[in-house]
Amino acid sequence: MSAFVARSVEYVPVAKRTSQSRNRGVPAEPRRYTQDEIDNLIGCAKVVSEPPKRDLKLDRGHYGNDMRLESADGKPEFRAFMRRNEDLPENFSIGLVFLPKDGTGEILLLRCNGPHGGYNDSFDPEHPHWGFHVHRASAAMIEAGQRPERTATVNQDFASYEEALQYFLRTTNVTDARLHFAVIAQGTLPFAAQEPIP
Amino acid sequence: MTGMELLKQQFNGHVAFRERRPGVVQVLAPLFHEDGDMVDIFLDETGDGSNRVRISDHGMTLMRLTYHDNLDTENKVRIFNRILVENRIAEQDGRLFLDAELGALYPAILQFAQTVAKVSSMQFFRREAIQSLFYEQLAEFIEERSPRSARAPACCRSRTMTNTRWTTSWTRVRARCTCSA
Repeated sequence: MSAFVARSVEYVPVAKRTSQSRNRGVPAEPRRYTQDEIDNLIGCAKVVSEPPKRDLKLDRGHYGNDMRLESADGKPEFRAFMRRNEDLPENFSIGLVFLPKDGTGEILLLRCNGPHGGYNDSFDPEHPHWGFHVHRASAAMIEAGQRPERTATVNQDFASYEEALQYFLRTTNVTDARLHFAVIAQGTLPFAAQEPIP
Repeated sequence: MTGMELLKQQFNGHVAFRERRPGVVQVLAPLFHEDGDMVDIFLDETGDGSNRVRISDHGMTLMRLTYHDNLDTENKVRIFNRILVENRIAEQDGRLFLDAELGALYPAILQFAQTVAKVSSMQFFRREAIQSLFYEQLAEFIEERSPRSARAPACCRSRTMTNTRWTTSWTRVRARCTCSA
């Protein structure tokens, strides 16, 4: 028996194709999510399936690291990325991406960012991009055909890359983070309890 | 009038500047990525007393690209280099830049931002997007190359193609009639 198994794709003539029938194995329509689904994906217990490197690695102007995660029940899979600009280290990004198995395309669920600046914050002091902020996927944005993580909010739980990484691992509920990240294994400083932010 | 004052006038006042480092000023202009983040554009003093300034992204474009995809194949690198060459943008250690006269900052910044957008769109080259395109192109290729008589079963040749569904495989094409005739 041949090791090569042909993959069949059923299709109808061009004029009659619909977005659903065009590629049976690769749906063309974006999948819809409820906000509860998104929140559950972000907050469900996860374990590291492909560990990150010990340190961030410099590549083309930025430091980077990646890891793969899977939920504790072994079903949903995710990837996480950590990036930090070489010239402007306050420009960092730590993100969680959901990898659906139905071919509907990955969804960036959460992204913790440093203060990289934004056009509107020159005119709108409430705009988050000049401070530490978090992009969180929303069902409304997906429904509107926008990038899921388009909305961002100011976040006062972190003020550095290291703190953002701790916040990220806490928020995404990576249960074995201590095994892979020294910053977690060393414990969390009790600033939040002693110095509440007004 | 300084270059920045001129730039502000050319942007009709819709631009601001913030000093991020000594000699490095970030341009806050209404130029955005799809996720709502502003395009990262910085003006670096050349320090040689000339009337020129370096427009740079300080590596942010490629860093952002790696949220979704990497320049991890020869083809991607080739396309990346082609985008830069065609738009006259240089690259060094992952940093895109363009040297411009102070008086020509406005068109230079737009040219730079356009190139950043093109490089950023390379995120659609990731495997799942390409896979989707592959099957679509394969289907079109087979349909274009196959004679109509060979594609349609006898019972359907005189009918519209509506009821005929096609099954393609890597190695052969076969037609399977699903009409009720």
